[in-house]
Amino acid sequence: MPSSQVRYIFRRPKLPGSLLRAERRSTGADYDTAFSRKPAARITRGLAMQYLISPATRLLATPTVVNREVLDTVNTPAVLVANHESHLDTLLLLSILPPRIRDRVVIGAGADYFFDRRTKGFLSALLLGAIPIERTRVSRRSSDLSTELLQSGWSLILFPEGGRTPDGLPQELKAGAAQVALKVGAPILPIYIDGTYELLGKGSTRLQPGKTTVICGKPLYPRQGMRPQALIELVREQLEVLRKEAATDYWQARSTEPSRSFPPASRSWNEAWLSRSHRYRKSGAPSWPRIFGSSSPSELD
Amino acid sequence: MTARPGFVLEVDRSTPPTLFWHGEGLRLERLPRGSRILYPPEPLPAIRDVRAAIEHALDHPAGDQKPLSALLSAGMRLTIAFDDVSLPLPQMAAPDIRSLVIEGVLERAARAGVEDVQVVAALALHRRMTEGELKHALGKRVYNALNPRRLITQHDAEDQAGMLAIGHTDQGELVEINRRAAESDLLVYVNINLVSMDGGHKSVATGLASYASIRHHHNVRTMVHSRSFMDRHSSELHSSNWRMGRLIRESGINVFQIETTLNTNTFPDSFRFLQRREWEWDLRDRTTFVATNEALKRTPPAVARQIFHAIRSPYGVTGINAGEIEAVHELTLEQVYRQQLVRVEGQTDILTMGLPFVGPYNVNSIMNPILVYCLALGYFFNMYRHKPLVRKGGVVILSHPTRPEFDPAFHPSYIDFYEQVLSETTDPLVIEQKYEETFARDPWYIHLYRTGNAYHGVHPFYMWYWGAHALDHLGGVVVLGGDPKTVRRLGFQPATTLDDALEIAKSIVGANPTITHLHSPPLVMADVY
Repeated sequence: MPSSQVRYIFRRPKLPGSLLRAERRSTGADYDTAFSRKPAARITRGLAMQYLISPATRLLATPTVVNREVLDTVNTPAVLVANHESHLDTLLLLSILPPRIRDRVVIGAGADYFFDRRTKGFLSALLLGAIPIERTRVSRRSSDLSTELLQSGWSLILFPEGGRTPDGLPQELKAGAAQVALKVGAPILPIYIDGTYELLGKGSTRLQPGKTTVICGKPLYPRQGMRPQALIELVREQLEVLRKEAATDYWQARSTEPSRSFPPASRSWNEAWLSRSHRYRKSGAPSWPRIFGSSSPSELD
Repeated sequence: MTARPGFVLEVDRSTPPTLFWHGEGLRLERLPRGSRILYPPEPLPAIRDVRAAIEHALDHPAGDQKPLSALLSAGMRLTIAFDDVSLPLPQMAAPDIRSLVIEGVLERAARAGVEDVQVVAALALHRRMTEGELKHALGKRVYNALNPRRLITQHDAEDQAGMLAIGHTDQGELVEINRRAAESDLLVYVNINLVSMDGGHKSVATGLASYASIRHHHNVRTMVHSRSFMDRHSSELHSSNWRMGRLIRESGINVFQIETTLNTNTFPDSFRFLQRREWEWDLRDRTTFVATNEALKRTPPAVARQIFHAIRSPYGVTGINAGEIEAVHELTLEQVYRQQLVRVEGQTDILTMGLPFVGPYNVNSIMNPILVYCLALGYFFNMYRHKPLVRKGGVVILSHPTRPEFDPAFHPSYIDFYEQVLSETTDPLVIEQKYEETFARDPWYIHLYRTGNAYHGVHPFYMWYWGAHALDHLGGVVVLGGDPKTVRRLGFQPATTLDDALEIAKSIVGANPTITHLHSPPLVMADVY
């Protein structure tokens, strides 16, 4: 029997959006994830992370982590914000976090995507420690929950772009993460993830193993009276530099003239082509093995 | 190490049995003493640094064309067309040469600030490529950069608004091609020249054309006068395409043609016996052959087909030429001939050939009886220059299981062609006059061609015309190991063993015939004097 038919049998059909819900709404932003922060769920998650998810992620995405020591020194609870290229981003971040953060961290996940079904919501909360973040409607519930968790000592991972990039280029940052950090006075740490778009970008159905780079920025400590927009602008500036660093090196990223490229002014194909060129093999003949009898370009003249 | 040239072997007592393809299987057959076997040249050495060769070709165009960088500028409209999934066969191991060339072109376009770019699969009337096939042909980088922006499209010959009539040639042939390509400031065509039929003006004039335009050369009269269509200078098919291509050029469409040639390194190391001469098979080759053959006999054809279609060929690139179409194509032809041409003295009474599991039109699909016919009498028969390998009135013996199986998604019109047309007649002229128009205009076939992955309704007819020259030339065709009912429907004779097939052939050509075997794989082309 094809897998689609098996899924059909075991999946309860969704209620059409135009119909009124007679039942109590318990999916989406209303999904209660409190169970996932109880000891039993935390132990399960810890074991799964330690022995299954982290090793598999490291194997498939081979991350190179730059400036990792920041993760050891940043005050907790903290808000970790990263650009979002792929579903792998979450796993990759979790796999590189030191135990002191990883054991007490929740992840903001799209309520409409990860919590649209109870089973999906349960697994996301149990295995990743996800909490629902409302993306499609205005709601205080998500920000209240995030604030509450930060105040009780849980760190928070958020993707302020609000979703995965559809084309490999960064998107505009939303100020929600900054707002929460300001409310609690928690540090906000920008992290740039490079290369997961090529491995499993939005729309891909097959995971392509490869290499990735994760660059940690400097933690930003919110000042009294700071506005969320100003704080998120600082995050944006850091992500812009880290993005350049991923494509070049530390020195070049900081020595070149700053130009607003996060997000870029144009989303045309050539912007994506040039900005992602470092992800693909450079030209040049392989130097080994030497195939005798093959021609070299100079012989083509 | 230089590649050894091809040659003609005369079978004697000590000649080992000869390898025949037999669809998704293999046969070892002992040819009668005195028969000739045409062995292809060994794969030519490949270019070591393909990317550097591409750069070199783009900077040093052949003929009257500027280097690519000089043709690119910000604000221009650029279209890159490429050969579809019908080339090469089997599909090339990643990276596909098309992806490397297109990467090279896009790299320059990006640096020149070109915003308006579109990549078009030049399908003509072939089926649309699947996403997986597109990703393989274009490579991850091109696909990831362009696909989310919907800049990768597939030519649609039935989109009336998307076609542009360029005019008529002096012979009255309508030239109508893809509007986007025609209205671009520069059209770059990226081709793979697996055989000498491909490339040249045929790339644009056929690959990006409509049915109304293609029908002027894809017809019985043209095919019978293409002797052979693998020899561009003696091919009416190509003459017509050249007239159309010159009209396209005169209309002001600037085409930058990039042609690539591959060597015949067709199979990976695990199937290396397929490319070796039988007397050179070592212990490993013999063991692999026996194991493969026995396993294939016990494997259902559908599974064997999947295994074979999963093969990715480790082709080496032997040449990349870019620039003005005609100048480029002459260089390309030289390279193709260098790889495939073998000189043969005199024609033969009986020509034997083994047909593989794949032809240009059944990539990732079933080789149905009409495609078997086309591959044998269209492609293999026409692999000659000067004179056909088999004499007028001679016989072709081909080896293929010829099962009456069809792929309903890719070849829907083939099923009706087989059931409705071939049950009435196998005469190409009658078929053309009586049925072509009905199939070509059928709205359901057009719908499937435009929205699904189906070949155009008229495509089985072209397959039949492809063999028209052979049908006109031959005295008979015997299918070795073919399904008898199906073989008779095609108008041929079935035979169980090679001896039977030779007996049937002798009843047509007379006693003591000369026999020649076209050894494949890999590809070989006969230069008959």
